[in-house]
Amino acid sequence: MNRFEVSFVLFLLTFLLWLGLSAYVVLNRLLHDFRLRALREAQTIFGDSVPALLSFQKPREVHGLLARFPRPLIYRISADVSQPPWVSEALSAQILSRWGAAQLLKEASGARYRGDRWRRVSALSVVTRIRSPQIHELLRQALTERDRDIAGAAVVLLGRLQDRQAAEILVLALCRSWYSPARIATQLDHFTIPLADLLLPLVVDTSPQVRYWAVSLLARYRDIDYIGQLIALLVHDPDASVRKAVAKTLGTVGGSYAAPAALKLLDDPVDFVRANAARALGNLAQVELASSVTPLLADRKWGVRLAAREALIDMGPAVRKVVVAQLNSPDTFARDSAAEVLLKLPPSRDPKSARGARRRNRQPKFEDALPKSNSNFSNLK
Amino acid sequence: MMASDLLTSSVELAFFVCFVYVVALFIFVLVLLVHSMFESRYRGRQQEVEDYDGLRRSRYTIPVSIIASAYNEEVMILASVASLLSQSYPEFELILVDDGSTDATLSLLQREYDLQPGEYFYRDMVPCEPVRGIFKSRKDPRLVVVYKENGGKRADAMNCGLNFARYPYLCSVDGDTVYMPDALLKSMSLVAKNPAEVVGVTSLFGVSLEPESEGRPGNGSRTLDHHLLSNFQHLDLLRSFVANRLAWSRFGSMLCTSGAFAIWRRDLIIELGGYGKHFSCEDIELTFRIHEKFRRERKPYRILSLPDMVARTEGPNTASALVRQRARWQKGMLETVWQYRYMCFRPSYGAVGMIGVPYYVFFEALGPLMLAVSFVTLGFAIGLGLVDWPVYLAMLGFIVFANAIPTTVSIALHDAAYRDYSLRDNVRMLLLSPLDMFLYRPIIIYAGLRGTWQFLRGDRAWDKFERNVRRTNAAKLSPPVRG
Repeated sequence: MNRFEVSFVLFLLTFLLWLGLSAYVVLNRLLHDFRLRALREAQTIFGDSVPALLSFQKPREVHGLLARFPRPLIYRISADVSQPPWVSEALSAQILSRWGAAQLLKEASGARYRGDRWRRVSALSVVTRIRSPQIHELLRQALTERDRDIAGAAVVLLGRLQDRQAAEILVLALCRSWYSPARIATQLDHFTIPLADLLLPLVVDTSPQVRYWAVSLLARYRDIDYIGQLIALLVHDPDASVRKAVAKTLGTVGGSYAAPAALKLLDDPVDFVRANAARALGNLAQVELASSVTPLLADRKWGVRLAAREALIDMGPAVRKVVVAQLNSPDTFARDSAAEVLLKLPPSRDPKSARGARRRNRQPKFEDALPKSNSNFSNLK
Repeated sequence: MMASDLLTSSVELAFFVCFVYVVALFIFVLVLLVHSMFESRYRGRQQEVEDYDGLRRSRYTIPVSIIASAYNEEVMILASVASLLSQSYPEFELILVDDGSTDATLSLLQREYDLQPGEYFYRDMVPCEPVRGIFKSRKDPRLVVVYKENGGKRADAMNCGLNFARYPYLCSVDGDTVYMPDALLKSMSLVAKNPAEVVGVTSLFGVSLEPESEGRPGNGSRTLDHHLLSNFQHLDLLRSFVANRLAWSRFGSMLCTSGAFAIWRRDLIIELGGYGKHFSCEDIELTFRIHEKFRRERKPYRILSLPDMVARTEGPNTASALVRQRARWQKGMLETVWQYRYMCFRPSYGAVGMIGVPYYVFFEALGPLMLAVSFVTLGFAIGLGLVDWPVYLAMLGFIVFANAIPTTVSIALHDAAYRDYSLRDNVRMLLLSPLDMFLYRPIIIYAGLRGTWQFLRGDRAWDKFERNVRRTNAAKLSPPVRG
């Protein structure tokens, strides 16, 4: 071949490749739109009558429509969370009727298509939807997989099961760090059945991470009396993040043990624990404890000062007297914060203190504020 | 006679060098394309099974400080802030740094969000120009607006925002960009899966002349502008993210995160001293710096690029504005590559040193120069009568369609994953892809040469393009707060 022929062949090949790719995009889109119309048609026939689709008594039309879908696509859409539930249900039924439960279970266990993680995830998703008796074991196995995508999908599917056995597996996964604890905790937090008895033993676990998540998750169970008492025992936990979780949870669950424990945490050597203790007292709204919070307006750490200010505002107008005393604090921020707290509290019966606060903390107008420099608390760590 | 022979030999040699360069580039692009396809498929499937609904309601997501920089953005600012405050992510704060705007940016925000001046904690962790005012919104407590003296570059505004950020992750955004409601949620879901390693995430964004407007009606959830230059820019970004950065993300050497949407671990940015103020493109430089740190310290890390379209940003609607913008990008890239040239071909920097940086040096930094050389060579070849026109035209056709293939694959991958543009818009994009070489690439080549010249001259100015004139006059402007 001469130079022209080589060049022309190259041109022709790239042109045909471009044309082929473009045609693929268009045809693939047309096919997608056609399938979408078919699914909408199915929805028109059945409305949202999912049980009718699952009962295998559906008319031939829907079977006919779905039978045109290729297998990988059916698997893919059945696991796609962005699809409406009836689509996933209908496709799950289609998978079962066309390929049978035995094969589906094999795929879900990873025994088949070992290389294709998404086929396994789809199979697990279908098995979860039909609530096969083996599903818990399959998801437990999947959760221990090295493949993070399979393990992550197992966490989500266990959360979808919403039963006791699924929760037990998730708690086990949390203890053994099989997957990101925050993601496991998110699923556990959305369980509608009570899980306090599963979580309580974890508060004495040797791992601080497990204790942290157990304490955090227990915040939901404020109606159980002894939760607060048990968590209050952890104020001396050696791990600061656990003490922080204790403060947060006590602020949510309340009860007679909450305030004394939070008070102890106000003297914690770690700043974020003190900040959360202050916020907890704010949540508990026990005004008699306001005098313990006000010194934190002059704390050496800025985060604690901010938390103290928020907590005092949360406590309500009854803290006014204690806060007024801070207007004479030698610390600029403590003074300004006290003034801000007073301004944000509902109207006072004591006109003296309110007037004083207004005088000390005149709010500049928007335009006036521009040329002035703001205080920069760069000296704070 | 001798001089003519020498010239002919030189032209032939230059032609051969250019040919080898183009072939090498196409091979590289092909490799990137194949890996991008795998990565796009992987991320698409990952998203399909992700529990976004659970994350949206979660109490245990990692809070994020969104830092938006704005300088004279009166046209876009309200739409941009509204889109950011509408994020479906459970916990975030928005720190908007007005970099000394002289237009109505601040007063528009004040009116819309009932801003009140007040004291606010911030720490001087990274240096920036003095802060002139701090305003908190009464309408939305998550919004803090910081008015500061103009620092000349975006890096200064970002550093200022960094001093105000409270949360462990920060999201760098622009005041001229409108964000999708799930932008933060989708990106942070990957961080939440592996917070120990994922230090940065960026994602695709589209280009529009008026990102704040809804667009024309269509049967897709997104619509294309009816404007050629805007369409070409959109295709350019689509190609850059889908056919290029996804592969780099897969290789672990994604060296270009966009300032319009980048999530970073805050402690890391502070440790590195914040955004580099001496660079025209602070976002690329920061990415290089982070790679350099982790590779040097031999610590595991990931910087991810996602195929999801998270935002629409304003693209210039005139060729001259586009040239200014792209010249700045080229200059910024050259400054960065020059700064980190020692990483090139150093095995201790792994894939970044052996593939990423060399790619930037040979194909991004030297690209405009090589193209200029090829045009000069062509001129001489025509003058000397060396051009075999049928061969030349066939080769030109080959290059045109070879250049269109990555764009076409990007359109295919994007459509397969999201189905967000109508069939009509897809066809329009497909037909435009081969025209890129004639109608768009020359502008980019010129901008690249201009940027290279600015770099060589030592010009460090931050050249921002003028905002497009709105058809709709959507933003009702008020008089500026300050003259």
